[in-house]
Amino acid sequence: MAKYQLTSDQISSKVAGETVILNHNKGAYYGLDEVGAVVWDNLERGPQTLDSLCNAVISEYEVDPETCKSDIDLLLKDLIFEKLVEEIK
Amino acid sequence: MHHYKAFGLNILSEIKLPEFSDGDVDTKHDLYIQSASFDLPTLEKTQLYRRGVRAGFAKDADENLYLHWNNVGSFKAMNGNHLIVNALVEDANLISLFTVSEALGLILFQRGLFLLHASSVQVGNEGWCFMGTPGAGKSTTAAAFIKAGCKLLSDDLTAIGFGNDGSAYIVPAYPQLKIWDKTADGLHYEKSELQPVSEGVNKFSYQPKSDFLHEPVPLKEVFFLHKARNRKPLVPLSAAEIPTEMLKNFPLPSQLLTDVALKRHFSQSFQCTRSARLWKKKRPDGFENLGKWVNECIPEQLIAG
Repeated sequence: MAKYQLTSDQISSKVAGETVILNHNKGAYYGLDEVGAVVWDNLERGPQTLDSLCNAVISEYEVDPETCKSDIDLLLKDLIFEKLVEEIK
Repeated sequence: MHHYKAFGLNILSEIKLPEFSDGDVDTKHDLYIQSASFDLPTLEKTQLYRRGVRAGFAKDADENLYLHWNNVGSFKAMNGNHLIVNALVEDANLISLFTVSEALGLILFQRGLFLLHASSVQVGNEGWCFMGTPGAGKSTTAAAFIKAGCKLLSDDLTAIGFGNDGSAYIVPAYPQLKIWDKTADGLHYEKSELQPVSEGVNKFSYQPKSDFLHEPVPLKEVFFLHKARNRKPLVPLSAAEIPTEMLKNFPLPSQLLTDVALKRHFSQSFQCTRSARLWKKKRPDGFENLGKWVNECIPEQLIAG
């Protein structure tokens, strides 16, 4: 199963539970919602699979696995597009 | 040769910089300010204006930084310890004004300090910092705190450093605060204690040379001043606003903040929040309300003293 990790283009910081990310290569800033922050926190610990990320979210939020998976998949696609996350081949 | 102290640096200078505190002749210098001509690389336009002149900026392959103001002067900052000034006018006051602002800022940037277009004062044992768009009241607010017994730390350019434990501190700049004529009147400054500013505009400068301290002061409160009536008078900065508001108040050419330097700026922006509270504050209306706010802020022992 594919694994995802943070790229070297990003740096992030957390204040009062809010996560702010900078792509210093592009000079663009991003904010994450609560669920996005859970995903990000897990990616900060090391490469993750879609399943491991989904499990992390389910352990904190009441959401059915199918919806969770498709939402996280969408978020990962956005993060990959912004070069904040990359898929490990 | 002239010996000065400013921004925590012992400075040896070939040109006169009367804004600075006198330095110790026997102390080894951290910064050498040289008067010489040099070649300028191709310049880029910047967002910086001083005296109505727009600055040009360049960086060369050796990481030397250049600023150029037409018909005023060119500056070359090397290695955080060597600033070359190429004066293009005779007016020594004008050269020193341009040297002690953005040109010196390039040196501080090369030394890794976090820079803000802000004025700062010491309230009790705390460093408080005021910023905002021109006219939002940075210097006026600082002047009100000083009138109430606080000490000046910096005007216009504030340098923030970080200790080994990561805590942020303000490096005192030099003893000069420029205030408007009407601010001097409104805050009841004694005109005899003020110097008229050379530029002929209706500004005065307050120069507390004798009691200016050069010891770093812990950064505790940061205010982004604004004049919008439709916003709350005081709200904490949200996480997302922290790096962008700090960026808006970066006092040097934005060209400096790319890649590694932008990353450093981002980290330092958040590092400030570990020591200090960051606020968006509506500037008090009128001198009376400003004075009232200042008196609410400052510790009682300071008023008593």
